[in-house]
Amino acid sequence: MQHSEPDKTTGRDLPSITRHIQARLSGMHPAYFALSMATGITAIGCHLLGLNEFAAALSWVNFLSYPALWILFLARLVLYRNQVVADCTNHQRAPGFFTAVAATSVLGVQAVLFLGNPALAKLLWWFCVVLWALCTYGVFTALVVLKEKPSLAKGINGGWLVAVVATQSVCVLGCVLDTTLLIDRDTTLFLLTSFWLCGAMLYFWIISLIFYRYMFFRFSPSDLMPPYWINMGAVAISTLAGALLAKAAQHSAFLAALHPYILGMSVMFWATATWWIPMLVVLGIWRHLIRRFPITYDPLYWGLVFPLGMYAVCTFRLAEVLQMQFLLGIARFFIMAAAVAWFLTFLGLSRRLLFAVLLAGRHLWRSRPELPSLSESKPIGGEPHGYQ
Amino acid sequence: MVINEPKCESKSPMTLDKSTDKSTARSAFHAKAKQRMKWGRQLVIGGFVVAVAGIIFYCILCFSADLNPGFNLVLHNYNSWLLTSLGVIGSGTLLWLRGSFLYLLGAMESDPDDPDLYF
Repeated sequence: MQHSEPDKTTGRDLPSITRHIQARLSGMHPAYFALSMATGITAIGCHLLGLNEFAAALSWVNFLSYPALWILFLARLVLYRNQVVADCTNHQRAPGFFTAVAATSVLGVQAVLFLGNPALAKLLWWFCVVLWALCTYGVFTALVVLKEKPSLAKGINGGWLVAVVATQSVCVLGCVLDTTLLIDRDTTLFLLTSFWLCGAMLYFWIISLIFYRYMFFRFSPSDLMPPYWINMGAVAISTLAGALLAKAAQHSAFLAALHPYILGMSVMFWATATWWIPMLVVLGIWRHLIRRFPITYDPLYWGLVFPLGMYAVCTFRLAEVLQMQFLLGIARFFIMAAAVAWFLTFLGLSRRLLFAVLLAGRHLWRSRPELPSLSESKPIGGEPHGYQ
Repeated sequence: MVINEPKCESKSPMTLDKSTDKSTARSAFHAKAKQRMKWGRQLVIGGFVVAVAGIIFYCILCFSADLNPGFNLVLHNYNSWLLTSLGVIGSGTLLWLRGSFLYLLGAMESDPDDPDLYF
């Protein structure tokens, strides 16, 4: 079979695989750890609600994706340091660094639930605290001291609430460990309660700005990015942290006095999260069905999957603490929604990877050395084959 | 009145034939790529639908077993139903993979003058 020389002017002008990977790595969003957050919380939700096969599969995906994301992040830090520094001073992208904190915490919870390894979870908790301190006091300081700042309309988005998610995630993992992390149990619980209340205050500050931006500035379909679902995700994780603290209060003299307050605040957070859901669904219909904004894969879509999984988990835990069985029906519905959303987003990511593989294959095929055809080859000292 | 007739550069019939052939071949190539993209898109959507149906079916099975302790005894071959639902998810995923492969190959070979593609 004769291979014709491929016409280089047909088809699209595509970059080489090396340039493609370089472009992807240099432009990698700091919020990509949302993939690990979303996978982990969906696995935890599936485990709690009896979807064991899904829980096992998702756990394995997360155990592989978390270190892979760190490798990519560190490679970007080494090879494209300027881009990383630029992200730290970009109001839209800087809060994405907080996803590393929440992803670490979620992995720690999985270490307890799936691996039965509290020692690993304890190590991850300390790593989580260090990362939280670096992100909080690094990112916010960098944004405060910036000489030129964007307007509120351009600077703020739902992704800012990942700072709240990160703060609450420290409390969540600490409660799941339910052990002495500092001096004694009551001191540990005091610290975890402080993280919870600090996260709540951050939520009130940031959501006020986001709500103000929604209501008083022009809002186009492209402004409604997937991280707006974190408006709901941040209060959902606050509910989870509160429910876990309320459970820990049963065996703590310090928390016992605060038990009604913690329970009341947790119900308030859950009600707020529930309020957001129809609003975000309606805005999503406006964006994609009415304004026909195309749905294409974007790493920020993991910021939509995480809140769905977190809402299912927080509703389950709240049902446990309040002894209200009807809440379990809501948790089941949302874990199903989270599983579907995770699957669709993962397929979108897989398509990107498949494109890179095809690009590499195409490049290898086109740069292969041309083999001489049999009809042209001559044996030494004789007629060519086929010509006898 | 002088009518200036446009000068026609005379081209040999062979050169004209070659450029026409090349243009025809390119159009056929792009049409084939577009067809591949169309099939790929249909398989991708079909794969999504099948896989999501499988996920919902699996969830309903597990929740029913959870809510009714005797459910997995009442429903004959509960385990095989569970495996079936996982199989449906797997089939949907394979359909999606085939469709994506077709679509991406077609997209790479599509007309560069067509709108940009994002995936």
